[in-house]
Amino acid sequence: MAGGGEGRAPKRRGLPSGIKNKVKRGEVHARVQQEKKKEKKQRVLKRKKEEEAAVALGEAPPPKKIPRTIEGTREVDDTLVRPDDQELQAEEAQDEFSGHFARAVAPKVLVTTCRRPSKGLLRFVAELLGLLPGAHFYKRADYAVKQMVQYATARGFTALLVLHENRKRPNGLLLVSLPAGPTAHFRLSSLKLRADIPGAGRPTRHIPELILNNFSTRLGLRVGRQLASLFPQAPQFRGRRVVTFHNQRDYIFVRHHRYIFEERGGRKGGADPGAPVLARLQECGPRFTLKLLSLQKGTFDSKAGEYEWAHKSDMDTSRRRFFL
Amino acid sequence: MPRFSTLPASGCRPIRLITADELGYVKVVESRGQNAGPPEVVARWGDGGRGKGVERMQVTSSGPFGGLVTVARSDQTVELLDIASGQPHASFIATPLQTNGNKPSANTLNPATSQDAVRGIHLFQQPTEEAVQVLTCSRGGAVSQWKVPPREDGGAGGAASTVAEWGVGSGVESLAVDHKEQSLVVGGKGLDATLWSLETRAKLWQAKNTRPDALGLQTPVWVTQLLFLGGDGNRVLAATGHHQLRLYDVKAQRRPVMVMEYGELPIWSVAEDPSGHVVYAGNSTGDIVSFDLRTGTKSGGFPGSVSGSVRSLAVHPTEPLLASVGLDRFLRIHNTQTRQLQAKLFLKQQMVACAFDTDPARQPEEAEPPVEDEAASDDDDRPMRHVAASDSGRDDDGDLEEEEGASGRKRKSDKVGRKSEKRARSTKKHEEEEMDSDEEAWDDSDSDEEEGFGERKGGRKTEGRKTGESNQKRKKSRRNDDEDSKGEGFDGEQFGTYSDEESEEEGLPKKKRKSRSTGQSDSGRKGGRPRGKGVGVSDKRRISIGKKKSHKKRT
Repeated sequence: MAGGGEGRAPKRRGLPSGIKNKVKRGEVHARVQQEKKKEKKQRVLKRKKEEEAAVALGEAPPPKKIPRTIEGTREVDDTLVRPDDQELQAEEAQDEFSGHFARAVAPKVLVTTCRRPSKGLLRFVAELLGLLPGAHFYKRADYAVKQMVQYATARGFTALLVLHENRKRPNGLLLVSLPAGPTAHFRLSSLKLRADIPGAGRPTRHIPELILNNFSTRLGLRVGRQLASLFPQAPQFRGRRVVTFHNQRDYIFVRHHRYIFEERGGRKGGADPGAPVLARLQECGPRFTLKLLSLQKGTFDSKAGEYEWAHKSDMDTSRRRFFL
Repeated sequence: MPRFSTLPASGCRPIRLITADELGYVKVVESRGQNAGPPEVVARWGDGGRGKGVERMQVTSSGPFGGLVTVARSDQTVELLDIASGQPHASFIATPLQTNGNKPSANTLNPATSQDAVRGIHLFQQPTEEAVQVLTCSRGGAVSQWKVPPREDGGAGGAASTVAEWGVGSGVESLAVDHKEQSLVVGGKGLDATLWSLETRAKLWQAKNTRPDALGLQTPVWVTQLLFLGGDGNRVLAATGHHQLRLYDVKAQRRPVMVMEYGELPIWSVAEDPSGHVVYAGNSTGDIVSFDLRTGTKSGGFPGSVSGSVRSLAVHPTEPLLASVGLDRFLRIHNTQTRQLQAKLFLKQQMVACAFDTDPARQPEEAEPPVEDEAASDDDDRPMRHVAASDSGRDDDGDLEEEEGASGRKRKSDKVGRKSEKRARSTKKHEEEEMDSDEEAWDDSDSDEEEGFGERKGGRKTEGRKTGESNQKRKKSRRNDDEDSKGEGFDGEQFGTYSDEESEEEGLPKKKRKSRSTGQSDSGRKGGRPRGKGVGVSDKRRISIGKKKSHKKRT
């Protein structure tokens, strides 16, 4: 670090970690943090004042700053497809999910686990059955996935969900669309069941609404369509149930909520008819995160199947490269 | 140490490619050279839709009926399209009449299971009786030879009729016809490569599976693609779903003469290099590798191939280019010599096939480099196309080359391309002997560049004025000379151009400088980089050229 007048100020402000005395270091650190906080507060206040002043004068407020995030600066991706793309529409009109989206096929999902599931996994399955309206649980017993694919196809199922666990923690989800595929393999993490979510409610049996966020690339659209094909097309809005698949940086966050509109402007039921309508959420669970590992054409065949996309380690050379 | 640790992107030469996809589109992709940016889709033929997906495609760049693209669709329609315009010449449904014992399946529309799905197609290059002849093979094993009579207006067309049909065994996945069109080979799941005569329609040869391994286990037969190697029709290469490449010699034996393994996943596509001893293979997670048939070993992979199954590989007959398409919806073009990815293009659909259109008349014109400096702008008779291209911002990798007329452009770019390849090779191996043959080219292009900069001082062009590895060569030759004759004047002569500048700059007496430079070059050789102010002449020169080069790369 260069000494001298110019170098001293940032040193004092920014680097209390260089101080060897622990007590002193703590003091300095606290002071620095306080200063930072103060500065930030002042910045915010100043900005607010400017905005207010501009509004009062009838001018346009200064433009809001857009934070520079990792996904905001993602690498240029050729595969971002516009929804009005003619070729995209032509393909979606005849792909594996076209029947579902044309409301010709109702979803019917077979849910099963790995062999000898733990109690925890079965609890997750139970909550998943509450999440998916057309889901049926079958014991895995000793059947292979290929056998189950055959079985489920013959009985008119449209998807097969296999849940895996490692050391009693659910860690994988295999989603096979039937009868023609594709097969998506997800890593499952950050699972929270209803009991672990404070204030969580029990879901009703209404058909939920579906929110799919940020599935923007060609691969993302395909995965999004596959996930959407698990749910019936006509939501019952009475139930105010929403299932969200939110993609952010290739992680798909799955959430399940019930919403309510507070029309009186507050929970206490204050008698102000002009107050804005508030929307409140209650989470219903389960809550988990999915990460796509591979997407294989056709039904499950790990040896002879052709991959549309499979994660490879050399894809992880940039933090700003996303595939969904 | 190689001085060019990263290769400058040499771009993709002017090429024309035909691709086909699962939705049923046939797309024409053109690259207009390295100055024109990435390749583009210039035409799209056909309407995609259910049952229209392309299963097999064959491209014949030239022939008695002109260039034709033959596509077989999943509803068993075979279409002949004009390669230039995409106009359909003929179309017929290639459902076999009667197969030898193979029952036609009930579900004929599902190409994944249908026994009638077209698994192989071939358009005969030698027409008989003024008609185009097409060979198709169904999965059920019915090989049908179709005759498509000419239309009234002269093109191929009219109602197709079956000339012959015979059964070759069920489970066919691939069909190949040799270059002389005397025999065909089929193979598939449960059907090992089988050679049939096209004249007598008799079985000539059938492959035999490899011997069981030490555990007594036999690799099941699953041929995914077949290829005739060379022109003699004796060598057959089979890619298998059990991650093997099997090379058969029909004249030698029934078992493969060579088995090469790659990875653990099915190999879906193979292609042969024009050199005759290299083959390329692509597997179901998008890895592309090359094998040397002389040693039977993998000679390298192709980086930048991402993740989707490689469905088709195509090698350019004259240029060192390898095109690949697959389920990741990209077309990728690699240089087979440097192994670098030269261009890629998102084609939106899951691709099935690609092939080069090699007819010289249909090759796109090479785009010219953008206008860069003042010296170049006096070239007023530049074609409009070039100006438009640079205006639209397509050319942004502009080379600081000296501008030439449109006629000289092609020759020049070839030279640049050669140069980059050569550079790549020699940085790896320092093959100095090879450089001798190309020295003139080096001199030419170099002087061009420098005129473009317009700031050369001592105008004498000597052998020493070279960039890149010729510099190393120079050093080496000089070293040899030193050892031989202690640099009797040769040194001074060779670097005469610079000695003037150098003595002016450093103010050293000529004699002193000369002796010093020889000593310096020695130390430079040992220590890698010369240190201090007394940089040897050659080193100084090298640095300045290096700067110029890097500048050229950046702009």
